[in-house]
Amino acid sequence: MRFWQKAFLCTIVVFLVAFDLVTFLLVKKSYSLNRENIYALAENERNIIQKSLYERLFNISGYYADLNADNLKMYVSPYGAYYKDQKIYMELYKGNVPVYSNFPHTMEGSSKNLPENSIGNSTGNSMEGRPELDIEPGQKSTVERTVGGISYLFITGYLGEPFSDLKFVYIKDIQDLTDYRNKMLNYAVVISVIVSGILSVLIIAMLLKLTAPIRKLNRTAKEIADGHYQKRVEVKSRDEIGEFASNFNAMADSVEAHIRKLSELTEERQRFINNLAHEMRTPVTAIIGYAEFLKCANYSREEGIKAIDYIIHQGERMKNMASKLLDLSRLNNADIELETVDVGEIIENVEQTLMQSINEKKVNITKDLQVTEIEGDKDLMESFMQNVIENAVRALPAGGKVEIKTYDNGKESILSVSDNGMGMSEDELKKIFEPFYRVDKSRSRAYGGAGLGLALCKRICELHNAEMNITSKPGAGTRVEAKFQKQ
Amino acid sequence: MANIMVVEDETAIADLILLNLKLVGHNGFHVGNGNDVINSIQEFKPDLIILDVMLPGKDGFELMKEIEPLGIPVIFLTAKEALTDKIKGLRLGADDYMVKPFATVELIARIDAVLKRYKTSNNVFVLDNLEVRLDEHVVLLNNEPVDLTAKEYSLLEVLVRNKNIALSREKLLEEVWGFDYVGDSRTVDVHIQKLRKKLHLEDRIKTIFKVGYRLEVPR
Repeated sequence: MRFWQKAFLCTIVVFLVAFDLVTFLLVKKSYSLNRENIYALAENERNIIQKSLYERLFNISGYYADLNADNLKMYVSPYGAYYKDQKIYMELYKGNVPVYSNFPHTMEGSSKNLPENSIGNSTGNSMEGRPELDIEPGQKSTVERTVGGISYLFITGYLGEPFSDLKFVYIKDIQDLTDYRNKMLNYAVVISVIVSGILSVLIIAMLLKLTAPIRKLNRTAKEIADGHYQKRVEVKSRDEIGEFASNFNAMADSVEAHIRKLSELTEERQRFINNLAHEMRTPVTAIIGYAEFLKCANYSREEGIKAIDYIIHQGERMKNMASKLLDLSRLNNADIELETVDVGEIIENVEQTLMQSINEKKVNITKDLQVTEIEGDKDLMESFMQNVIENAVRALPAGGKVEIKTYDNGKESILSVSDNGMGMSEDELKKIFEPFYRVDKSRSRAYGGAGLGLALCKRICELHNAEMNITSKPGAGTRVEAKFQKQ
Repeated sequence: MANIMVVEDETAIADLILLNLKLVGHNGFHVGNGNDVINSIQEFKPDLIILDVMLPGKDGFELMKEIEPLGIPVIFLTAKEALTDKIKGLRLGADDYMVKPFATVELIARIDAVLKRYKTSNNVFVLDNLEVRLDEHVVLLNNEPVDLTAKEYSLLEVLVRNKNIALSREKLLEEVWGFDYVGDSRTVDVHIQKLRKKLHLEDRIKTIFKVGYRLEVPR
């Protein structure tokens, strides 16, 4: 069952119970108030009639020695006839003997043929079926009962002295009252059906509107689960659902970011492998080709030496690439231990290593070291410096300049290497950190470069929490900067 | 025999191709940058171009569009092995498409095939007093026709086309008798002996120890 269906059922059941209970209580109260009213009215009326009857009897009592049934009937019947129109009936008993009755129903017991026939016959059983008549002298009874499907109110009492043997029964048709109650109850049922119908429509509409964001969330969650990670929920309400939606979106954001990062990583890996395969292909082709040449060709001595040189050179190139790759992969899952490193010493070591090419090109290296010590891994720092300086030297024409500076900007120790060589275009700069990317392919290869140097440098900087920046202008030179955070 | 331009940014590979071309008697020269190709074509008027795709400057496909109207045959030689690249290269009008790494012998065979189609090379091979007219399948010794069986002629042709390169017995068997030939590599030896005798090539067709046979020609 859907949530809105549950909510609807609960609401409608609670409403119906409450509504019907209230209605029932109201009707009941209203009925009892009406009844009290009618009782009081009836009592009043009876008193008037009885009093009037009594006075009349009293006035005429002088004429009759004995008031028998016949003459009593003569006196009562005008009242009976008069009130009959108002659905008020009356009976008169002398002792337990019926004298008069205009009650339209025949009741159990004596009063069968009362109005027309002789009264004497039925004396014995006059009390049967008439609980209202069963009263002690001087007492009064008020009884309500249904006769022939109609509710009547019976008020019975004795007349005052000297007619205390006369029992007067006032009967009032109160069917209206019962009808009123039944009508009210019926009406209440109809009203409750109609109202609950209208209410149902309203509640369902409201619930559907209220739960719409939930369905939306649900749909979006499903779509995200199906792999559309860029999907978001648009819920603008400020309630819990709105809160949920915004948290949900935050979750989706972070999932998407993760996924993107992962797929970027995978793509990068794939590109790396593709590049690697491509990079390996050239030296392998050359080595196989030259070896085949040496095996099969009718070559001259110089050609043979050339072929062997190429084989050696290409082999070295592969070795170089392999060792850099190894460095790179080792760095990918390594934690480094920081120590205090002497920058001057490192630069000197690197200069030693690169001595040959520096001298060949007559490169002028100037140093301005304001910071002499940096926290880092010595070997990695050396590798970093070597790659950067090597790149600078390669980019230079003969007699170029390399400037190595270290300084402190308060927060960071900055190491910068600038050259006045050929520089790079912006496009080239963008790809510069990609493994195997080379600005000048043929030249770099001629030096045995693998295109991994800067990728390695970048990784080294990352391990040192350092920021690496390269700025360059074609023709004007390149500046490499690494900002090491001070501990 | 033919002027062949090698457009290749890797000097090692270019030199390798040039060395092999020289062995079989072609005249090769190297261009390393895509932007220099058109100028070089005008200067050297090559009979055939071996073209790499990934080049500094203009790439091979771009160059192909410019070379195509000139009517010079082109063989792509590239590391790009995707089918789409091959189709692209051939659609642009290249005569052949080879993927690196390549076997020298195969490259030479393909070069020969293209040259044969264009009939640009001088298809007469002369060595001492032997003359082989490759187009006419005629062999003259001291200007006298020599009778060779079909297999002997095929063997001679393969040796001539791959002159100065040693060919293994298996390779010769495959080239002359075909893949499905169920024979002994002795068959090759027997035919080589016959060729040597008939054409007086005892000194020219050398047995290379542990490799095969090589037709040696002064260079």
